[in-house]
Amino acid sequence: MATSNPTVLQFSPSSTSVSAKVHPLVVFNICDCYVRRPDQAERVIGTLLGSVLPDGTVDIRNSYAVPHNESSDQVALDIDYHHNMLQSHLKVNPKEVIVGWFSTGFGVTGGSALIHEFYSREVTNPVHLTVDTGFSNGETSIKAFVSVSLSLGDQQLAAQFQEIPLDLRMVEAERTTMVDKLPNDLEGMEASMERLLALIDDVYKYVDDVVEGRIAPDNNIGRFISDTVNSIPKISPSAFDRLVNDTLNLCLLEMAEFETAISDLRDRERERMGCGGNEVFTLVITFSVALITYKCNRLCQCPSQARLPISSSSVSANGFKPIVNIPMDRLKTTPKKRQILSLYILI
Amino acid sequence: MANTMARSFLQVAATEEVAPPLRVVQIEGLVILKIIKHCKELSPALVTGQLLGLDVGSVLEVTNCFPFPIRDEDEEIEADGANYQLEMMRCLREVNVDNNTVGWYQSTLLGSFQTVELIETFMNYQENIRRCVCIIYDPSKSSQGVLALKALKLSDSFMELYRNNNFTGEKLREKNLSWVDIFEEIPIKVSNSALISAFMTELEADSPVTQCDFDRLQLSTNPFMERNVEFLIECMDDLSMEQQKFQFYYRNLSRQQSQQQAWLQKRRTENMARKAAGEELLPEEDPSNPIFKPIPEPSRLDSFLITNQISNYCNQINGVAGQSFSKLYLMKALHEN
Repeated sequence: MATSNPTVLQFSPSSTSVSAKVHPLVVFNICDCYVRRPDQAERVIGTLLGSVLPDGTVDIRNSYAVPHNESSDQVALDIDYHHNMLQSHLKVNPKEVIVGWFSTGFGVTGGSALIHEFYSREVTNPVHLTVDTGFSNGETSIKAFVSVSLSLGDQQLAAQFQEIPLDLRMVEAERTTMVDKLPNDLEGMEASMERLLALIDDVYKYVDDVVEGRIAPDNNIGRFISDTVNSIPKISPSAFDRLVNDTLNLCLLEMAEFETAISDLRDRERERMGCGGNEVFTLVITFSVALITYKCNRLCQCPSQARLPISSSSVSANGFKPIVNIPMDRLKTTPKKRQILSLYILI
Repeated sequence: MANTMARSFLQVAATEEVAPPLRVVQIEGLVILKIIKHCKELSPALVTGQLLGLDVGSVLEVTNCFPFPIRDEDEEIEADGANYQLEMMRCLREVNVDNNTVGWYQSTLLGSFQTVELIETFMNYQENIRRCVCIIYDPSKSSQGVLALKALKLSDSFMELYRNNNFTGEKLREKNLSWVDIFEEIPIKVSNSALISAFMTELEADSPVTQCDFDRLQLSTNPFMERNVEFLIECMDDLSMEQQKFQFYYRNLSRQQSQQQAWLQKRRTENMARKAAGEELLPEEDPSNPIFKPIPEPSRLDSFLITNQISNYCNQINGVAGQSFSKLYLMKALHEN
């Protein structure tokens, strides 16, 4: 008996070379949804929004929870809710489409296949993201899966979930949310500088140790350090002095100018209120004062000799981007611009 | 959850008579991320969204938010927007998100947010909810490693004046209100649920430097500075325009006053003559005369707002200049070594 209709046992799709990127907002949102889940619910599930990048990476950028009901053998998903929410999200950002779904809990469970099937109808090859909110292994586990279905001919037999690599980009979250209080300009600066100094100290110490033979030298690190040192551009001392002083004066001028402008505005507002004094005239005086300050500054070329308590090595650690980025051409034009501004206001 | 909510509503109801002043705005990290995402993705377009949360005593908790689609002039679409808002709030309530509007957020460009529209929106919100806050996010500043978030509200005395639409010099003097008193900035506190904190601690990369540090130590601040100064110049222009309006008004006023004086003088001599002649005296006031018609005083709101903007730009320039100082000294030290 020859089979007229050969049935083939096959996986589809056969290749699963995708990876996924998760925006921290998604993790935050999932955690928030879990905290706010209904009393009796064990887990929350929801839709993931994002886009598929040209290289096949799934970029997960947004998410929302979808109410659902789960018993031992069936899962009920609020499809209306899902569609409403999707419509609303598309209004704000039409570029974000469904890319998959998420669920809390460790790994894939039985009901997952059913939900996954539903999402397969919405989008081809959805991604399933699991976030273990229970810390069942004692550590965080965020995993992404795609499903591969095992079929015999036209008949589907089973679905297999394959884990795919996941890229957690936490840059932004680090930047913002791990602080209690928002630092102001200078506080942030101070923190950054302290970290930079610590790094330089570390490298300095490392180099010393190597030189004195206390640590075995590592060529890779050595190359890194020398690259970093070389990335500082060579500027002749006089040129550099001029550069620094120019910029310093610029800053000084600006600070002086605007400090006076602000305090002036404030005072005047108080005494004037209602008597329509000659504001323009006062501004002229303010800015002339500032202009004079600026001129004086330029004349004495105030040699700014303050030093930072810094070790004598000018290197920074592994992969540290060179901070030297002074835009030379800009510096030349700006002082002129400043004067134009002052003149402008004088007129 | 429901329990604490009920309690907080009770508290609010109990303290309705003596509403404590708003001290802190407590924002969830989730909300900040959502705001940043929305503002950044659609930058440079300016966007808005709604804040949801709870009002607990002197703390306003912002626990969630959702973005508004970019508005069109079309009326039909505007109605659509209202529907969207209701729909979104209904949906979020279903997944147990606090569905209590506490204000709105908006993005801005270099802090140029102090406009009449902002005040109007604020007044609209204020009519419906007792305590409302506006969160301003500046995406342009984030490239410098600063999280430019601000929580603002209008001061009570300003709102009272605005309701009566009364911005004459006299009223302002009476209230002792100057341009600094229009907006009140409220300190922001960031909070995260324990679950999120746990996740973040685990996931956070163990590197000694962050992207934020790179951004902060960037030496080129001039583009930012230049744009600030450009905006500042524009503001100065506007301010001097406003000033001219006032000068015009005062010139008119003094001319009118001298006319009135002249008229009065004339009337008096005429009356003296009539008295001498034994005739009936003419009244010393004549409302029908056009020179007695009061000239409307121009509103000071605009000039106040412009002054606010100027001060804002000045502060930003100041901040950047201060940072540049430190950076330059650091650079110098590096170079000398």
